[in-house]
Amino acid sequence: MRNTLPAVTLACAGLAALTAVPADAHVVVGNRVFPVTLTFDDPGVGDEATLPQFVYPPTSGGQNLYQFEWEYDKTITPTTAVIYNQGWDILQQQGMKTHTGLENAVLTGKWQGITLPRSETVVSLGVMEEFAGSAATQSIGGDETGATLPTFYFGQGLGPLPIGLLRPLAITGELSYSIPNHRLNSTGDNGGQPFFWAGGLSLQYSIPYLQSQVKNIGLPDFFGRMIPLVELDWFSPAAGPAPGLPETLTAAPGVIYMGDTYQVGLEALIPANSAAGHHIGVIMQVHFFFDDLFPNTLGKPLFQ
Amino acid sequence: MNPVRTIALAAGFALLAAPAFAHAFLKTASPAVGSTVSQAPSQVMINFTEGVEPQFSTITVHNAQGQPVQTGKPHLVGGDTHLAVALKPLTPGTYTVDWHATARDTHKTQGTFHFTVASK
Repeated sequence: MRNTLPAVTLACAGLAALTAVPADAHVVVGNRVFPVTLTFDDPGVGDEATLPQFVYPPTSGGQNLYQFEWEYDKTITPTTAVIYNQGWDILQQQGMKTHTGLENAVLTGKWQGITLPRSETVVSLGVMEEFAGSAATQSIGGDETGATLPTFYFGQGLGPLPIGLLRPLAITGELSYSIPNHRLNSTGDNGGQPFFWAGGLSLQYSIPYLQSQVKNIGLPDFFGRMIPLVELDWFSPAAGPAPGLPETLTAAPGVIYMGDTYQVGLEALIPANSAAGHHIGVIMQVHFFFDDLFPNTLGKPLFQ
Repeated sequence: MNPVRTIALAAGFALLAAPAFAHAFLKTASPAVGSTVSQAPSQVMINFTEGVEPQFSTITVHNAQGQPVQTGKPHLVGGDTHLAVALKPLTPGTYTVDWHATARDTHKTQGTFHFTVASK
């Protein structure tokens, strides 16, 4: 969930669009495996966990933020899941005391409504709920009040198209609309949140798909498990006052290594506008697939 | 306990606790995915990343006209990661291989690839 800093700090923030839409899940749809994207959620549901994710987001104004985050995804039925996200942050500001604290917890209910294996299509709907945390949470930029975010997810592989070596391409995306529990006022000092849009879009090229579905070009196993990708993350106030919360856009190019029971991802975080920060950040994630690790216990839906 | 230490310990536990199960994906195939071969193969063999259950796994091969050219049922070759199916004598042309695999942990996967038998 978006870590909005108190109004005074927000003026130089540029933090956080990256954590606007937490939760990850990998999904297999026909011939396509959609990996877990790092900066926003995937289009499906699964039994899995991120442990840990490290984020050094782009910031400005002499701030440094270090986020150690985790996530647990539990399927209730084969197409529904509950997802828990949280993290522990360190916020350094020039000339000020370093703050540490837990991020606001976020729970997501998600339904994988459309799965079309032949066309490599998946569409999901979800609702995220952010729960406001303690004073320590607010000291590292956590929202003072919670919010509810209806969210749309999609994934589309290009494998069925007659485009030769471009068939390993896939696009995934997410769009959320945040409805604050307590609306931010025009001076930005009442502890509320604005209404806002948060979106993510990824373009991925799956080397495993290339090697197993299109043409085996003889890459060694290590490189044959790579998925280079670019993620874009966008945040924009939607309606009403949002002082100190400008529109932000961040690009995250990187690569994901797909293991049999886990994946490891690494991406740079590049501000695409000045409000998104003034330096390049980084995000690293280790993610475990519980449906593969513990297929008979933690890794299966509560109700088949 | 320090949260960072807790996370590190939990991650280590998860790794150590990991048994050898996962989805079965195509690792290599013979004929190779997308390849052109000069000699018509007598079988298609797929090497999976995990062991598969042959009773619940299939390999079908079709010619350009959509006619099946495999004979018999797929069978394991050596260990349970190699699944093969015999082929009728093939003429030059492009063939489509469709496979559906059920891994030992019951996860299902599927895939499609082509190979070409070159004209002599």
